[in-house]
Amino acid sequence: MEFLQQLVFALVLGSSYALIAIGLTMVYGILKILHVAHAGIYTLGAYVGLLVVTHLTHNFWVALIAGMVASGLAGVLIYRGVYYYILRRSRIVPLIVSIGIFAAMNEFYRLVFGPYQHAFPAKLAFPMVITPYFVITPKQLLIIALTAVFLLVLYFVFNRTKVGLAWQACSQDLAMAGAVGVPVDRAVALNFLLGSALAGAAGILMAFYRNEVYPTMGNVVAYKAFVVVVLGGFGSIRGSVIAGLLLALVETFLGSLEWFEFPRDAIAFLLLIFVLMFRPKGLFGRL
Amino acid sequence: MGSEELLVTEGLTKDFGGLRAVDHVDLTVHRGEIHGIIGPNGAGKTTLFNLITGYLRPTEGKVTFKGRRIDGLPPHRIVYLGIARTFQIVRPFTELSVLENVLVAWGHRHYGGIGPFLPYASERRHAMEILEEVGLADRAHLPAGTLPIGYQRRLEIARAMALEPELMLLDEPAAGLTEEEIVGLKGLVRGLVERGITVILVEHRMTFVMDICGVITVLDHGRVIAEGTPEEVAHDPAVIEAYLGSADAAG
Repeated sequence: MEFLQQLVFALVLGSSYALIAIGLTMVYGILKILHVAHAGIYTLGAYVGLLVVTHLTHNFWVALIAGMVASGLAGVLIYRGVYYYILRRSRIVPLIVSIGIFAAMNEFYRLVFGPYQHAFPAKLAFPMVITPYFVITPKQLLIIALTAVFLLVLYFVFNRTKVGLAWQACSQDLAMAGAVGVPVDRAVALNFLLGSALAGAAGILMAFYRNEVYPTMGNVVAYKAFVVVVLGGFGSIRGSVIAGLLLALVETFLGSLEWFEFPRDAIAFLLLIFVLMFRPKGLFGRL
Repeated sequence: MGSEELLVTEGLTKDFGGLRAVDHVDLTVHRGEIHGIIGPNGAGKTTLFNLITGYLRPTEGKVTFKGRRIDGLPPHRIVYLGIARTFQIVRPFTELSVLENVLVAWGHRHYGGIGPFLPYASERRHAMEILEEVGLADRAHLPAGTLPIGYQRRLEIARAMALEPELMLLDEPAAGLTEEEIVGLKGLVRGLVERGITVILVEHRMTFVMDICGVITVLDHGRVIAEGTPEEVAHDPAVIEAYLGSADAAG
């Protein structure tokens, strides 16, 4: 069945959208910053993964862990080294700074790794699912399963742990969270660590899936992730996950229609306009 | 009444532009007392609180807590040293449950190492004990935003209790409460003292202050104009004049 096969494609694409958007929405939820450089972190994950698989080992898991750790630390560095000092400025200041960091990161990748595409020669033994109706390749299964695991872990951290509760408190009232003894700085740094690690994971998964890594691979991702975050309602993690899947579904199905001539990467904005007409705060938003 | 000096301010002064909101205030709070701070509107009471709790830096003067200077420290450090406060305008985390509001505060000493990624366990029991003490146990799982104002004030105090302070600053705890709720609040504040917490409170509701405080300091235009027991203060000519003089403004 064509429909089920398309659904598999949508699920894979939606998983990557969700993983990136989660970090963005976490940062926005607490600091109210539009963290454009997050897409640069996504690319960083892919390049660190690439370094591991070309120079160290072909083992995918090693690459994944290395890429996530590097991305997480890079996220903390961006917060502690840059945003931390401009948090009290008008919101436009961190936004512009963030765009600058993103552009600088892309140039850095171009200078160091060259402006061309690299293949991503990782090896992974993962099962393949073949049914009469649809096929799930090992890479697709990996992405769907890993995303599911990440989401479960995230759900647990957010709802059952100290830092999760601290994040929720911070996103509702940052000043008051400090007043009741939450070490806000630390909580925010951990927030960047986790969100950035997820973006790095998304970068590696996509690099592996499409077998390509290139300096500007985060560009389309950057604006799509914003569409997802706005669609889901700023700051709502559940909203971002659902909006990521929704966007992927719409893109996949509209893109598969023969008469649909519109560029596929512009569908995100059509969907955004359509949803905001009826729900100005996004699907789960309260702003 | 204890005799150890817990909190001392010396020459504490705060200027906002040309306005001197707090003017060389010398305040001594002894361990175990309930110390009231009263004064007409704009007398500098809340500014004084903000200076003590690190939300404002003094222009001049110093604040000493248990013999250690704390002026200039950021608010969360002062919390760790043992001073908790509530705010004039209640601000619970509206979308967290009542219990979670207290847990957030209780969690403050567990953020080291991998602590943050561990689930809450025994902390829940401690938080429930506090909720029982303030009479919110049966509402523990409601979203805090749905509580009526009187209960939200209790929640503020519960949150401050979870910080296990030695000194608690209550900023107008009786504001907006009914007479009945005030009776409950009195019991609650006395309970704090029984727990060994020293209390400083700013308040407009005179009967409440006179009833509960052992010592009262009166501020007017940022200066201390009187200090003493409720009876002494109530009969102090300077105090009477300050209040009568601003009777229109104070309503």
